[in-house]
Amino acid sequence: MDKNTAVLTLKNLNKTYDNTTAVDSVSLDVVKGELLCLLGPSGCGKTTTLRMVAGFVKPTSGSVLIQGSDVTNQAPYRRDTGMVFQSYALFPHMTVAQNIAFGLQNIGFAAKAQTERVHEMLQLVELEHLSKRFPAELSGGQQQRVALARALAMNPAVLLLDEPFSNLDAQLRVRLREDLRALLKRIRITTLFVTHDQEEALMFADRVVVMRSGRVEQVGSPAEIYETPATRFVAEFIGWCSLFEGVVDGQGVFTTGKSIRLPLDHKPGPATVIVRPEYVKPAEALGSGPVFEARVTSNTYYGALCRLRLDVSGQEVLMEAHYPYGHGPSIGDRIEIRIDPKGARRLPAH
Amino acid sequence: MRNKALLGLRGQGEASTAWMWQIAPTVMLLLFFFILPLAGVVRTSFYPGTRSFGAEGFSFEQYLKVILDPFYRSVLIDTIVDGLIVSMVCLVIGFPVGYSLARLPPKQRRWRLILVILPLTLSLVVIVFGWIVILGRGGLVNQLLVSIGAIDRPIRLPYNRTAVLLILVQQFLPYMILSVMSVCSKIDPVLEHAAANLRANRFTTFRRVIVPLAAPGIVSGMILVFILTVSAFVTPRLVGGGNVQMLGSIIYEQVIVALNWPLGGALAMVLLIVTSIVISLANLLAAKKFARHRSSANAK
Repeated sequence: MDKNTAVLTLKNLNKTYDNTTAVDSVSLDVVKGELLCLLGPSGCGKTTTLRMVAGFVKPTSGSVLIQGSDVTNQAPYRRDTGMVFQSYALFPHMTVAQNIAFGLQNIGFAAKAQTERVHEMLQLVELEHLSKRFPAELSGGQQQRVALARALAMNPAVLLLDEPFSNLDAQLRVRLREDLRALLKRIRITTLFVTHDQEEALMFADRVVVMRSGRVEQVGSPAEIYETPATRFVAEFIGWCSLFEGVVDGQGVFTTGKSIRLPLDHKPGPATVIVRPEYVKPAEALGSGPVFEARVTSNTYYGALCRLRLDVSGQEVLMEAHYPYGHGPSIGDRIEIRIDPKGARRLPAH
Repeated sequence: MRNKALLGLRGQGEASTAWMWQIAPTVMLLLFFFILPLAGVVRTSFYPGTRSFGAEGFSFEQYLKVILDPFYRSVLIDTIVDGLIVSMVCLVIGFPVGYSLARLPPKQRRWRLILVILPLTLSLVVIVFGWIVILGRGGLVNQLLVSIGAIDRPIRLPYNRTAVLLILVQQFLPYMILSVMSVCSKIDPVLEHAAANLRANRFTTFRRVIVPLAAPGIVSGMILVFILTVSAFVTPRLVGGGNVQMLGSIIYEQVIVALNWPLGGALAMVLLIVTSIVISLANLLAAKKFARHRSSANAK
């Protein structure tokens, strides 16, 4: 199969419940081996979209194509998808091995081939020693790996992950995320996954689809989404940023509020500009650029970094900075900051 | 916890006897209205002869009669078979109803649940007479059959075993439905999606996911219906009209009509023992098959 052919295609997918629109004309292509993430706040339609791909929800209009064939009206049990559910949905009355073999039995694997495939999958997720355990005897992380092995055993065209890390504690989450990404990349499986956690989306996905109230806001690589958000919603939903409303003059200088001036592009007129907090630094930490006087309104300690909310003559500016132990500013302090003009991004006008 | 600490403060002696007073009323109630009468039945069943009052002595006469007399033996076997049939039929009809009730949103479930429970609030005699009217010569069923030309003239529908079993099914169905519903509402619907995602069609999902997980409810529902059926005596007497003998109605006849308490007692004891054996077997089977995942799920 050609590398650039879409394994999964969504065409103008819509879903309306009574009077509310859950998913509004979503179109997507997921190519072979790609990790695509649907990201958005709860109720944005990302889970409904995933469930329409799996076949649990019937679209109001539009179509779902898996490997080129239209499966929109196909029953879930005929579709070539493998899903890892948020709650893992392991069968409580079956052992780990029986859970993994369940699907294989349904597609007519012979007993011997089943055993081999189950073993292969258990090796893949490193759970050979737990094959005879019941789900209730496993930790959350182990259950997740069983659910993954169960889905992968079927060798599905598309792997669907529904908030796969939300039931795990924070430390485990980060490690399993890296492991899972490496595993999925190794076996080159096409994956569609859903999350509300922007950090997870940025580090896990090849491409991120940001959704809001059923619509796609932006599609792009994690870096594109973070650095050049297409809308104010994306800018604010992904990470932290300062938002400035102002105007660009003939010289290409952007002015907002009483004192902030930043060199921007040469398209005069009103503009919305965002600045990520890592482009704002204490004056002494950044060599050049205009200096602004700022008053600290809050300072949150994050270990390696402090996140500060600053007031620059009435304009809120967010800054991420490292301060030596005991030298961080306190609320009400006046400090001098510089804003790196490279970090100022103009949002596309609508 | 707090209770214990409080009791501990009051002193060791008092604390260790306090629980006795708490359960005393229940123990008394059971003792006087259950254990003593039962002991009386046991004693009575070992009297020789047919005298209910002033009998003396000890013999296995009644039990030998129950086991050796072909009449009582066949009634005993028929009753057990009837119990199995009624509980199977209740399962087949009740499972889909219980399952679908469990999957309904609570608001829609409420009215249907009331419809299921409503027959339990009616007097058994009223239900049975209602059935006799429906099944009678001028009844609904006969009129319908005549009008569609299935039969030429009304036939005799009640007063046979089929009619008795039909009415028993109707009476005990709610217990099966409630039992299945309560266990099915604990089965996460997402498991059915997971099964579908693993290429299981509806029947496979039902057979390999729903039935095993609903097994505790199925077993308890069947046990309940079985017990109710083998001990039924009003329905067999009224609907059977003397043609259908079940152990419950025979015991009733011996105790109330024939006043032969020793034989009635022995029949009752045999029924009790047979029922206990059937229940233990069912529980044993269920426990063997489903013990592990249930105990591990509880441990979590």
